[in-house]
Amino acid sequence: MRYLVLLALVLAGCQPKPTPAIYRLRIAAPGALGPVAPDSDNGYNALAADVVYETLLRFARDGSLVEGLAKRFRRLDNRRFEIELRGDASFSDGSSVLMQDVLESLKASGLDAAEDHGLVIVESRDDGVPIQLHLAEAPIFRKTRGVFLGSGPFVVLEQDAAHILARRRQPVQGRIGELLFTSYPTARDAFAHTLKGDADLLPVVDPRTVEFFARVPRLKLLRNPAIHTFVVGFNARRQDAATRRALVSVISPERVSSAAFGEGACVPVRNGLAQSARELPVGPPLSVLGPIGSERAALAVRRELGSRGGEIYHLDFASYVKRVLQGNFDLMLLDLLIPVPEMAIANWRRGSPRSFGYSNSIVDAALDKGDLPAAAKELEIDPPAAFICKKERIAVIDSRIKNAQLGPFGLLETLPEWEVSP
Amino acid sequence: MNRNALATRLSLLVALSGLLPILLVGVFSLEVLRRRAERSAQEGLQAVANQVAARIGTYVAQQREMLRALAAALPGEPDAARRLSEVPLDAPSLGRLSLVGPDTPADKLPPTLTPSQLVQALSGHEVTSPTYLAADLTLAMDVCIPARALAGHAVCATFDLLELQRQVQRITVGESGFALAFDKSGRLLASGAGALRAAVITGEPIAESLAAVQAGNGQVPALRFQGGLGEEVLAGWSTIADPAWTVAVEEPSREASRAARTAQFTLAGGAVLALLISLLFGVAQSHKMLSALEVEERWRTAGLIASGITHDLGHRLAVLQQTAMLAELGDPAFLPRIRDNLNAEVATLRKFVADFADLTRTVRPVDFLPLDLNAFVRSVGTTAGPHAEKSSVTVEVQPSAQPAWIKGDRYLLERATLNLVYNAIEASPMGSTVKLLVDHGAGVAIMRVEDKGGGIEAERLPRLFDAFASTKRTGAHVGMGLPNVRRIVNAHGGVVSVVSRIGQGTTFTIALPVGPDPSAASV
Repeated sequence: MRYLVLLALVLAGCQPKPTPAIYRLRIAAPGALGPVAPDSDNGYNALAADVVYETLLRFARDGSLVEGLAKRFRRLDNRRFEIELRGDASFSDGSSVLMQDVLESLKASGLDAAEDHGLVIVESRDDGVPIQLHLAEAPIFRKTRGVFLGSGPFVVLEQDAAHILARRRQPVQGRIGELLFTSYPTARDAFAHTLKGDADLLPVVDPRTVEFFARVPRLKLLRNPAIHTFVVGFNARRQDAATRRALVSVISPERVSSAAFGEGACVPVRNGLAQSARELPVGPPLSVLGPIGSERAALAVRRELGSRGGEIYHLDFASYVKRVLQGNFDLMLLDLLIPVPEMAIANWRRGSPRSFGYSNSIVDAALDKGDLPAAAKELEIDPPAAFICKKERIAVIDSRIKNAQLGPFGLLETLPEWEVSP
Repeated sequence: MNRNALATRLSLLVALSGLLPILLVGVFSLEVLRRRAERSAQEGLQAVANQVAARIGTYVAQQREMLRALAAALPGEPDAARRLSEVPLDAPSLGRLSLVGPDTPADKLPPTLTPSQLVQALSGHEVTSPTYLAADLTLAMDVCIPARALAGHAVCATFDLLELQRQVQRITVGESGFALAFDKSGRLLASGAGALRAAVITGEPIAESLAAVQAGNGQVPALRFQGGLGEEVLAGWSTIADPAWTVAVEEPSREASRAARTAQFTLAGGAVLALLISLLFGVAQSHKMLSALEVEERWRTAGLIASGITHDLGHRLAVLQQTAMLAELGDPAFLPRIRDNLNAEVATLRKFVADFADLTRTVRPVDFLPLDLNAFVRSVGTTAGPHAEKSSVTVEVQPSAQPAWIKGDRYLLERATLNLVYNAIEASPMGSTVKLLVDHGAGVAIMRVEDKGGGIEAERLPRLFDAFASTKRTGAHVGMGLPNVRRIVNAHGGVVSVVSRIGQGTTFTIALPVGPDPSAASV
């Protein structure tokens, strides 16, 4: 009898613990979904890529670099990093992340990379983009039989144009276990379905629509600083430096941000030049070019120009980009990617894809030397743009997610750490 | 009924008689209060709906006035188009402004106005589109005002009604009351209830849509109905001419009458508590009072018994004392008298003792046996025969045609019946007849004892069966006979009654529940 009791106790102790329910985060995605791949750079499939692939380094919330797949790193000079790999990293099929995978991945992202005594030496090409931005954007992957493997915490189980299902490789108690991206025909449909309760996360919300989510207990708003800054870009080929300095001084970030986006929706930034009551020199009217949707901002900027305010052109995005690349504009409106303060300066290096034809040899030389203050000083003298305001990233999410934050770089890159209330 | 049951019954009676009227008045008052609270809530909702509607109407009227002012002033100026386009920077509620003329390209025209409306606008009439949801999911309305200074032109604006959406969404009534705004077709435009807000985007009708259409058409919509959130609501409705909106302000009915309901529950709880306390306290007090009454009753009974005994035994003692004095004389001539006296007194004292013995015998239903009253009365008649003969009275037994079975204690029933028969014999004049009859009633077997004596005074009848109430003071009559008869009959579940007329005689009737026929059971 005693043995029977003992056996019963042992068996009771051996009973498997109840499996905790996997929390599935349903994400509303407007438009068709593309494949989740290392080169996903637009669309909601890129949000999935943020948690499927890792980068060697990533940005912290203060703009500094922190380790991703790297164990430690060292900046050798303005264009080179030395990186030691983490030994325990593995791809979603269980295989280890090898030096070869890293070198090939970096090369696929346009970086030069080589091994040196077990370390990776990464060097950026002369494209004007700071190397740390390249590193934070370069996913590490392995391509096996046409499939991209990532080392991130999630792995894609299913994907087509209508949905993407990703599951956490190692379930963690109290964290999100699955991600289900569901495609809706339009942004309006995605919005409505989130309100209806068919989705738990709407990653992009217009500030004018946030009140729709007031008194919806199931959802809460997430507000975090965006990595984009709204700027008025100048055409250095059409305006001399003096005119551009005058433009910076007359375009008030406070007035423009308030009139264009409403009070508080976009936080004004201070330009290098002190705001003085300077007037624009006499000259021909200055046109304002912007993509569709930027009408109010264009009107606000034109009003700042006073009598020199010219035509406003609202074009669809492709036409707008084409015209910008052709240099066919006086002033243009754009949201400039500035994930780190350094980028606000480095962006204007000759050859940078976002310099929009601006070129200044003093700035280039200072950047080559890594002398950012000197470059910044020269940019004040010969300004390429007027910085207006920093927008917010706004999303709505299931109110049970406790510590959700957007960014700091990829919109959902911190998602693996988000905690789910029971 | 034992003392506990009696105490409980007494307490319950007192508690209920005190509490019930208060409870009834309370329930009635609270129901009145609840209805008034609901009516008051409804009036409040109506007032809020009217306020919201007025605010919306004023807001749109202000925008329209502003647009009229612009249309009157600006179009004549050289840079009118540009200045108009910049107006919304300072007046965001005007949305997008443009100067529209015959040559305006189609893509610059207000999107929701029909060509005929535009023609009207250019020919000098104000035109307005229905409210619609703009691409940025905010409410908008296209309005064109003819430009006075520029014939054939109009100033058109796309009113940004986001502020109205916000105003409706921010209205709260009580804890969970909210406002809704609809257009004439019943489409939800703004909702204070987050759960209904998807319908603003999708255009799907909600539970309130039909009532909103009715209200918009001037009909009286329902004021109490199942709301879109699935619970019963009270609502106030108000319509606006410009824009053609209908506003509903709702509050769950449970919330509107919460105070009255809380009071009702409190009253019910209080009543139950008061009843319980009253019962507990009342039972305890009743116990005390009944005990005190019982003690007092015992003393009173003891006094009555003592009085009866003193009287009766005193009389007997006097006779015996006289007899002793005769004996002391030693005269043989008195011996027969002495013998008769002693025999008579001994017999009287025996009856006295027997009466008391009857009182001490308790009635136990478990001892009851089937008894045929026909046979029983014959036996009683035989027993009473010698006593009747002495009084020169005849006892006549008249059984019923059918057997009359009951269940009972034969000894006690015999004592009770003999008591009535002996009383009847004693009350009857010489040569008369005492009848002992058996009959049947509804579920009862009946025994009657009839005499043709002088009858009992009417004033004595009500207390005839009370203990120690006998007025006979001849022989051993302490007044325990008839009370004992009633005790025995009641214990058998029966009833004893009396009918008497002076000079005509008296009839005692015993009605006992019919019992099973043992011979029928054995068949």
